[in-house]
Amino acid sequence: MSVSSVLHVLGRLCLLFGGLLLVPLALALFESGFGNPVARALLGSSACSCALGLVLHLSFAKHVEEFDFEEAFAVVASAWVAFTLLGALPYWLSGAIPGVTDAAFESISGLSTTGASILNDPAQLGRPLLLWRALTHWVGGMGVIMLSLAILPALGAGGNFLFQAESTGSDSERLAPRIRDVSRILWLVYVGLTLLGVVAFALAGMSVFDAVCHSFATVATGGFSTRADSLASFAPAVQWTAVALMVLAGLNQALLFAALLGRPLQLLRNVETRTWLSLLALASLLGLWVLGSRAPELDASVLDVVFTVVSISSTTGFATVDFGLWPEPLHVVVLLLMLGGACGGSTSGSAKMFRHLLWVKSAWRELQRLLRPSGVFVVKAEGRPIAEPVVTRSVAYLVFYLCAACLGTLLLTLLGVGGEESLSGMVTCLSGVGPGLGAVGPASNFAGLPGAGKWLLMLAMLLGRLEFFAVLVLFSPLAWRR
Amino acid sequence: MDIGAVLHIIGRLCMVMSVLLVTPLVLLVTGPGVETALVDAFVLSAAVSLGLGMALTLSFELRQEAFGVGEAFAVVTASWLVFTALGAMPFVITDAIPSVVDACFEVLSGFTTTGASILDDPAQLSPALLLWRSTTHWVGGMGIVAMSVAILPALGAGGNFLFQAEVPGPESEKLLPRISSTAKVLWAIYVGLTLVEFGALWAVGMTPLDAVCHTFATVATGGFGTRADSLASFGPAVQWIVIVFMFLAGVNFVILLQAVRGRIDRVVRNAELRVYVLIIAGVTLAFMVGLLARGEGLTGLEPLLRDCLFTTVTLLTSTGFVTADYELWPAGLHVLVLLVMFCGACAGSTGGGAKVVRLIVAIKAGMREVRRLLRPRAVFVVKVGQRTLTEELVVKTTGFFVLYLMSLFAGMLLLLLLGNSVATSFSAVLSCLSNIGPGLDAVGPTSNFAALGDLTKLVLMGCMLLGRLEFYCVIVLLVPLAWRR
Repeated sequence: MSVSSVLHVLGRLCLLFGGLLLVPLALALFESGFGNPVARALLGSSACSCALGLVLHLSFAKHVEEFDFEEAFAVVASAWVAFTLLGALPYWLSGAIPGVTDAAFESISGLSTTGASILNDPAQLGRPLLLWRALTHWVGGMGVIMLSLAILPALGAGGNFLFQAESTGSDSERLAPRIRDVSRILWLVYVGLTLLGVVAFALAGMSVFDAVCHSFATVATGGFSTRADSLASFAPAVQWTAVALMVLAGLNQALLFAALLGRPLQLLRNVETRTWLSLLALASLLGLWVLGSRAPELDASVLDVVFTVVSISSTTGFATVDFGLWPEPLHVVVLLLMLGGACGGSTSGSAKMFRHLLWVKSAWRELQRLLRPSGVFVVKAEGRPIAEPVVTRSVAYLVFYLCAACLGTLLLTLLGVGGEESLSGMVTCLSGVGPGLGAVGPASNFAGLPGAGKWLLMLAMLLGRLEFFAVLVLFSPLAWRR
Repeated sequence: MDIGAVLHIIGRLCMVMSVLLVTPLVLLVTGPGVETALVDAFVLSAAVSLGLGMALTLSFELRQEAFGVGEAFAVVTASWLVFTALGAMPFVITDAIPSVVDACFEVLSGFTTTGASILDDPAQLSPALLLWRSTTHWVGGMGIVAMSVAILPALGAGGNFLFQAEVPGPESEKLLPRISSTAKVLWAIYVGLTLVEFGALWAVGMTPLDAVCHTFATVATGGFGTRADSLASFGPAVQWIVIVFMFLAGVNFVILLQAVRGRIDRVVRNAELRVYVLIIAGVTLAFMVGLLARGEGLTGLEPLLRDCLFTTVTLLTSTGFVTADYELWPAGLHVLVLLVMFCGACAGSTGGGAKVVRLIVAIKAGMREVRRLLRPRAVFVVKVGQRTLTEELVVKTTGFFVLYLMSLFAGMLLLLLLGNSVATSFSAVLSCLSNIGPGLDAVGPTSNFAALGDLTKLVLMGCMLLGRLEFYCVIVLLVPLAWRR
């Protein structure tokens, strides 16, 4: 591993991050000038970020010929950690969130597009910091899309087989031959979706500021809101808009682009898309049935159920109702939806539909192998055979994920957190959803957890966001060999 | 699928079952005070088994050429169900367990060597029924040895691939040339273990009936006791003996055979055995530290060590005997209890759970993916000990884990829908899938499964069967390919 190349690139990214901090700074200056401690905090953070970036960039040289897989993974992982710490500075310096742990938690929760908060009432942060909070979501979401659709496949490590299957058809169908072009296209889709969100939210009756913040949080499938009760106190029109936007954000962005180019069938015919949409419908119906038969006194509306299902399944984590009050079977449904995730190539977290599809298909193949021990069976998706390493990696990912959930739950209970909070908190952070159950449920927040528990959950958010492998790779001796 | 052939074989197995049903009669007739109602119940059950067996054998014929893989799976799954129904008859006829569902639950729990009971106090059963209850364990354990050794490897069904790995190696290391003779040797070990443990328990002062029942339950890693408090009220000597034999029953029988033959080098080299021992040591230590940290009710180091070691071994080997109520332990240890339940013993033993070797393979497969990411074009293989595993085996093993966990979630969801609490649902499903016995909360070590609803019991019975037959064997019958001629 060429550490100097990694640090050089990291420096450049820190410079970018410093530039990004100027956005809320501009808002703060516009609103109240330099007298405001928030403005000074934002300026200080931006300066820190730029200074660090310059130092790293200038002191370390990049050797292009040495930039390989391990360097790419190291940049991704270290950038997420560096951004977490730099992104926590505005909260901490301004005194809005006094504790370092809490500030870092809020920051990584934003960047990993989780949306788990330690704030009792976000509205007290003030508009500049609220904008910053939403912006961390947006940046994190962008980073994830780049990682999963542009960088990983280019490194030959793409997990998203369906997208690959689509794009490696006949040459004319190929989305774009090079990373740079792919990135540009994805930028366009992402920015377009964000603008669409802002306009739609504003038309549905939100203020422009709220519309921007919520649009950032939705397209990134994050979940930070500007109000303590999330979206509950907004009008139904706003909530329906959020549902639609969350669904769009949960779809494969590359397929969304193809649909925009006039090939909507490609999107609708896609196995992963169809599986996810069916799952949403199924979970909503199950929710309505259980609520209707078990808890008619709650009087849950269709909107509430659909909103919750879409919000959890797309790993956004907005809430309009406290599903912690729903009957217990629905708690398990919520946990299962968290484990499910949305489509590959989106900003959503968790295992994602394609991994589940591959796992089910490979299990089905095992059964056929049992019956025909000498037969040769391949796992196929949409008629195309899937390469064996892609199958093993997906199944291995699920094992890692489930083991991490079990171990994390164990560690949290050892720290004295309740069983329900431990399990749901761990799963929700690994999956990047946000709210859990019990004391970390939608009507509550993560402030009450012990400090060590918060750091553990921060690690879970990072691991889950970088899909384990990108982090674990750095612990392999192979990565450090010259 | 040739249903005739399947039914023919099941008929033969029913006849074997009728012989088994007669064995408690020996005790009844030789013991003091012959109870005619009990004798009648067992005779009637045996007669029904024999009649059913003869009817099936005579009405359907076995065509060797039609008997394939699909038929074998059908026989295995169906025989477990038929045995359960037949085995429940003595309980129902004597009114010892009036409800049919309860009786079937008890017997299936016996055959699958789970040990989950619906009885408040087993001591109220007559000795013959107690013996029969434990016999189901012993027969089930025997069936598992036969199945995992003779049937599954022959079909390439994995699960017990370490055994396969041991068998075909270089010529000199061959265990025995044929599967049937291998099965015989392993049965000999099973019977040997049974006899030695019986002798040991008898020597330290157990009554012969208690000794037989507990021996059967231990070597099969079942868990049915003869008292309501399981092994808690027996002395330390009994508990230490049971610990040793639970440990042995959780070891791959092929390894035990090598130990008997004096091939200690091969035993020590076995990767699975090493990890198994390490897990036991680590978890026992963790339990002890957890209890010491709390510092309440400590009566000395030996009882503490014994309780912790006993709990670890009983849960890891999926036996399910109880000496200490682990529900009273600190909450952090409960999660450890659940993790141990999930883990399971060694492949090729009578233990349930996911099995240690699968854990090793899954972790190694995960680490391989990491290396593959860094060197996408390099070829990496997964090794256990000295052996390189085939890709199919790696996928199958990791897939098994996911299947296991998803079944756990699905079962838990069903139990919750049926109105059980979260802790009960989760631990009961886990306990039944891993064939352990006790769980937490309403099904905790000092409690039993009696209070659950009938539907809940049926779901849990499905879990026991799925777990015992390692999922694939049951689910394979859902594949259309299995039903094709």
